Amino acid sequence: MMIQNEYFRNEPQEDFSDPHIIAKIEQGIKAFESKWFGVMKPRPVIIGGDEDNTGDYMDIYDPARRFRLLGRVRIATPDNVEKACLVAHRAFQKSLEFFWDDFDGWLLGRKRVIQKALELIREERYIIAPLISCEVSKSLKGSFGEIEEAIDFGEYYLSQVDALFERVRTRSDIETEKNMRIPVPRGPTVAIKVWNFPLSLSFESIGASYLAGCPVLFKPAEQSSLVGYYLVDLLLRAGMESDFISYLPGYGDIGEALVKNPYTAHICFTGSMEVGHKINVAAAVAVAENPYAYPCGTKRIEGELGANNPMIVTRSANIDDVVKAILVSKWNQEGRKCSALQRLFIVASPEHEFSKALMSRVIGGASSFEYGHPVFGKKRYSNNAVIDGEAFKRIKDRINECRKIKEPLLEVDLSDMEEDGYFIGPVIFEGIPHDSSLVREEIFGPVLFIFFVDSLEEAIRMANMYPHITTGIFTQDAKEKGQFIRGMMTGGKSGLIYVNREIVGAVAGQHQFGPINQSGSGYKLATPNRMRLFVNEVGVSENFLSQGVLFKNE
Amino acid sequence: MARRRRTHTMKILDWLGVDPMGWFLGDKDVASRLIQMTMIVSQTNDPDDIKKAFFGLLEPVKDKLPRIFSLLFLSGKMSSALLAYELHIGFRIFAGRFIGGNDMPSIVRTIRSYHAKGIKVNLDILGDAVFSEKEAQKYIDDYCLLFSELPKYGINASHDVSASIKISAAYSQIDPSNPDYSVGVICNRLEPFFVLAQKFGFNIYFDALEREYREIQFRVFERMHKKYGDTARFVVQSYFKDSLGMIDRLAEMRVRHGSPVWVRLVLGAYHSFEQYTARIRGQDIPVWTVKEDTNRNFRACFSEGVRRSLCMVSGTQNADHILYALKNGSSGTQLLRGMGEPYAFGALVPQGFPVCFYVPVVLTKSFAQGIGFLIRRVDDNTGPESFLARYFGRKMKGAVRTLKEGIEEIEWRKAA
Repeated sequence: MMIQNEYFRNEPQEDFSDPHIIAKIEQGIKAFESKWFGVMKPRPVIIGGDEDNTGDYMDIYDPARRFRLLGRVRIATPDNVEKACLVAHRAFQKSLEFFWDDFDGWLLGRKRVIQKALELIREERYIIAPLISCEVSKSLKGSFGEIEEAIDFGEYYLSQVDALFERVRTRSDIETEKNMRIPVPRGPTVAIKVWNFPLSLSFESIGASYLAGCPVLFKPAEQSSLVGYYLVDLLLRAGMESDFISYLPGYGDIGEALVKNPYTAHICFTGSMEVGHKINVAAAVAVAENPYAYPCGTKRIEGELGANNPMIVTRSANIDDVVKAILVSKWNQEGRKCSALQRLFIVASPEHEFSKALMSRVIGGASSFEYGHPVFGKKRYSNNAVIDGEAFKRIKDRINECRKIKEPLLEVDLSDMEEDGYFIGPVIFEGIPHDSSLVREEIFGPVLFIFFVDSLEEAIRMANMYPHITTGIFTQDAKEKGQFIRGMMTGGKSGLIYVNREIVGAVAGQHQFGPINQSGSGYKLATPNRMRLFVNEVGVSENFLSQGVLFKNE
Repeated sequence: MARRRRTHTMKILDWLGVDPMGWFLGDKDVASRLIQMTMIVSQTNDPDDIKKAFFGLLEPVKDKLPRIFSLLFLSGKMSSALLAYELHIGFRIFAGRFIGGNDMPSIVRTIRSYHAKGIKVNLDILGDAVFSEKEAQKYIDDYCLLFSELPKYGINASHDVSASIKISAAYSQIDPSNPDYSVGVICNRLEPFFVLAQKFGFNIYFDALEREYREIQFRVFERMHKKYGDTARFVVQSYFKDSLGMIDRLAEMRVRHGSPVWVRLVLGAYHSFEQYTARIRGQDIPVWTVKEDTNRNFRACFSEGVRRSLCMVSGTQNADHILYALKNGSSGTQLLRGMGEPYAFGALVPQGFPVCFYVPVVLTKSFAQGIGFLIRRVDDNTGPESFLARYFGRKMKGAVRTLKEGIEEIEWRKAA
């Protein structure tokens, strides 16, 4: 079987061992505090470069200091959505003509905008990082990682956009015909993005869509609308055409209106499985009910939805490596990652020395995490709050439901911090039935479910029972590795299979992140295929034969 | 009794020409499988798991293994318990070559045996894979326990025993992006050990670490040196491209604090790891990748350190470096247990040079805690750029001769 090598150089990670970098971080935090912190004037809705300051607004609080107002954002209205979609539609039509008449000029302009945007992100990263950290309660290290990821996405799509628009001539040996396959932008994109990676995943969709010639109607998650505003402002400063990007913060009704609008061609959605399925249905029904009102035709949906990620550990694994990977996979960003570990399968009895050693070290490690604010205070904490009161209640309710079945192996009590922020410490359950909805539903929080199983085969079968985005195994046995990969491949649910490493922290251009099955549409981020979502391929076939004579005037 | 048995077994192995380190020097695949096997043996007592791993890992390369392994395959076919027993014995012998003991009596014996030969000892308690605060506290408590017990065995400041500590193991939540807080926690945790060290006259070296912790390590050292003077000592890794800058910072600190700054200059303990990490992170490779560049940097750092009045100790197994240091104002030579003996007994000690041995120890019944150290030693010494890979076996004798002859040629010794 042929293996093709793909080369991509990632953005260098921030070198925290360099004292100059630490000094820049300090300066960035000060600049963030003076420019951004607590600005009470609501950030406007932006459509076609115009700011709309008329609607209602929402308050955005710091999850780790829940009564501190970070900022305010106007809420888009249905009228805003109508107007934005029409602006995008007109911009798209105009751009298509430019695309056809002067493709090279058209593409060069788009590339320059994204290049400039990347330049600005690099320059402003010491301000962007604390903004992300405060708004979604993420460690500074995590925020810098997200910024690097955003840059990776941009660089990757820049490197692929020429190939995306390559025109292909087919059967050139037939002299009586000229047959061409020509990629053409599809239409405006709806980007409904999630709060846990508010910059990178938003920029991923916006950047790819823009480079492919599709205007973007951007609805950030309500919890991360300030980062969303910063991004749109940055893109406009980078020279993005004002009718190619709209900023439409708000709640579910805005997302729904965008999905159903006749002028939108595709929907990039990151969020829960439940909402993802609703979007699929709503988009299909809307078009089906009145197909001729939809100039872009059937809508394409690109979803990155929920997951219930499993990891399997066998007794041949190196315990130090496993402990580290479990701690990172489960509690890095408090389990608020779609790739976070939820179910841990240990192929051993609970009494086995391996299980005992592993569990005691995982419990010890999880008990040692220190929680607090990621930016302000004596320490900049790496373990922070969950996103909001709703998430806090949902996770707490699940923990209480599980407790009715069995007491947790570990529950770190952070109740004394709840007054300040939405903090929930690590929780580990063992003995909750695997087929219970308490285990089945994605928790998106710091709760780990452990299962001791007799064989690897059983672990694989159970792991495959629920949709997942990532999965992993720890073993030093080659046969076990082979058995696991085969089992997960044929299980049909794993979008990304890891061996002997943590199951979070996928890097653009390096790891193939892109959920399949119930968790997503299967497009791998930062791959050539990803950008194809935004184009149609049109075939042009010209005949040169008439009356038995060849009339060829190329 | 156990020690005598180990010594006896080592002698038999030497006589037979069997050196476990040699097994790792050949085929990379075989070496990697042997390392994996060593890790599994170190962490489990389950005979069935050991047998499964042994056959799974080593049977595919059976033909490339040393002959002694055929006996193990035979044992494994007869009984998994027998195989597990033999492998555990083998692991303890292998570990014992590098690790100087696993309880107070064995550690004290090791110190005394070195001291009887006029050699100082630097003790490093292994077990730096720390994930919890309990483990981190235990790491420091073990040092306090060990060094408070030593005087009871008659080992005191006159023995010139020192410690090597890894500050990353003193705080499980150490965070390079947040250095100030980490520095505070680590200093507080180290405090009792420094009080103890000062009371009994021991010294404490801040041992080599991965690059990402270097700034935290420097700041912790700065605080402890300011408070405890030269009880606190530093280790500089010369494989870093910017290690001269670190020498500069230490020299400035010496002037600021007004007390001697002792520096152990080593090549570095994580050469491959630093390169892998930098590639993963998209950063420039921070270490010299060509051996000769590291050698030049070692010499440059050593000379600069001496020039700036730092007390420079060489901590390398490279005969040329040792010689260079001796010729250029060395304050001592440190060698690794299990590797540096030929230099010490063949050249340095007979010529009256002060030698200190870096002796890793564990304070647990099993040697499992030392596995990370052992694997790094194997990896360090079997890489293509490794000094020991080149100076293994007979070549080592040549290196010792070179060192001996070099020492005799040192001008100031001739004059004396």
